[in-house]
Amino acid sequence: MKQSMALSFKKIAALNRRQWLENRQAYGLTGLALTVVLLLFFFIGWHWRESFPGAQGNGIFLIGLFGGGIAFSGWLYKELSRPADSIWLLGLPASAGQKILIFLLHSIIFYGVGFTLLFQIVETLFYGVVAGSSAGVLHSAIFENGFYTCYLTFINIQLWLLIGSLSFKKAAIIKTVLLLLLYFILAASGNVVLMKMLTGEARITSSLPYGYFQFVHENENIYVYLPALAQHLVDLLGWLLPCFLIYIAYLKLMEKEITA
Amino acid sequence: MIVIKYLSYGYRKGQQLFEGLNLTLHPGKVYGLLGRNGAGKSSLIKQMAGLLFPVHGSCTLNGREARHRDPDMLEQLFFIPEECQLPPVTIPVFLRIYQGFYPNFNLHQFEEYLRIFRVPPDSHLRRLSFGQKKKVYIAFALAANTAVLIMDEPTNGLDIPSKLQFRDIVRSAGCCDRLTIMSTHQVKDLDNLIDNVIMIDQGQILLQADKAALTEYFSPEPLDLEILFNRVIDQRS
Repeated sequence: MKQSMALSFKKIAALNRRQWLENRQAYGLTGLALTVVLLLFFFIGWHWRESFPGAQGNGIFLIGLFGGGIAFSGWLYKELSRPADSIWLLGLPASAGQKILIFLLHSIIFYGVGFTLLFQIVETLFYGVVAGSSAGVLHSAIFENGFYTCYLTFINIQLWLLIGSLSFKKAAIIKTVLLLLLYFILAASGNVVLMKMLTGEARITSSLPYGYFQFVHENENIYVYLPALAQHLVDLLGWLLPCFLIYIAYLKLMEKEITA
Repeated sequence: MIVIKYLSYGYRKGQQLFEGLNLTLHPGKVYGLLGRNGAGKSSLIKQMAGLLFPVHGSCTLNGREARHRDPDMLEQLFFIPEECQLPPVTIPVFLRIYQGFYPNFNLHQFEEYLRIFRVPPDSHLRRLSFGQKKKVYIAFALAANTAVLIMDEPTNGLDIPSKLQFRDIVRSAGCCDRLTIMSTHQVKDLDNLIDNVIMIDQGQILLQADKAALTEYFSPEPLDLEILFNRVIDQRS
């Protein structure tokens, strides 16, 4: 048992070394590109600070986390879409679980942590050196007021992209992103339509499935949330969703065939 | 040993490529899988490599289901596809990454094969031509010393001198218990390497025989696999 555990860790370390040695140049360039884009966004936000009131920093953080994360995954998962690359990957003497783990480590942990660190450094440098102390209000607050739950959404999106790359043969990332956008549009607007139909209440203006709905009453927006216990259950399912998606990705890799 | 039992497979429903196919391949032999373009050669060897799954039946490699691709099975198998894709690293880095995955990998052999193929050992794989990449792939596959070596059209993309080098290398690398399968539609390229001939067309095995037996059968006429292949195909049609 101990020996097989050690062997398993050895394989994971070997796969991780492979990922790093084959892509170190691309990782360096990704870091550089993110730094430049973040500096540009901070500059735009600072320059037009009167026009963009509110949590600018948080907005920039979300763009980098999701936009950059999708681009990074698109590049990382290309190995799963190209037949010649896939043959090499599938033939490597390691289990499907170990191979999936490496994708998760790089697309979720390394990108998520790496981007957060880079964001903090660039933000500190920008406001410290360029903008000066007067820009204090523009600072992000990513670890406050539950904002950090965006990491859960980030994890889920990265996992859906992995599943999409294992499912579609061509333009996998574009197709998966389009499907996710379609889902969000349908889930939000479809839910409103459904609620209006079910209740006959025309004043419902927005809603999210398993979240809340909003209606207008005497020119005021009223929000109606789920009861606390039901919301806790939904939250719990939300935290379990990544485990479910990881299992699907594992099964998809196990079942992957090279038909081209 | 590779054992295929009652294998059925089709890319689409209602279009069967193989139906109830049976085949047993023994260690220590070099099998030549011959067939026209689209005969099903690549699909058959992909089944053996665990890259395609049977709809019915089974394909086992030393007792393990190929489709499960478990790490112990993959350590015993090396598959060289027709289109070789190698990572954009130097050969020393490539070795640093991959040799550890194969317990019987022999560095000395690898260096020797590269020398015969005239590929500089410190080359960057990104800068190599398709043929040179294929040579690195072949050299690594042979040096991995896996129990089963599967090659799909191994001489495609190699120039004439390289084809000769390839034959020399494969002959010298042949060890007593390795099972080698080479698929080709260019029979002449592999004629001298093959111990056993498997001819396939439209998903059916038309002929499987030891080359020695075929040579004896056609004696005193010299055995020409290409002529034999054309004759078998003609008879079928």
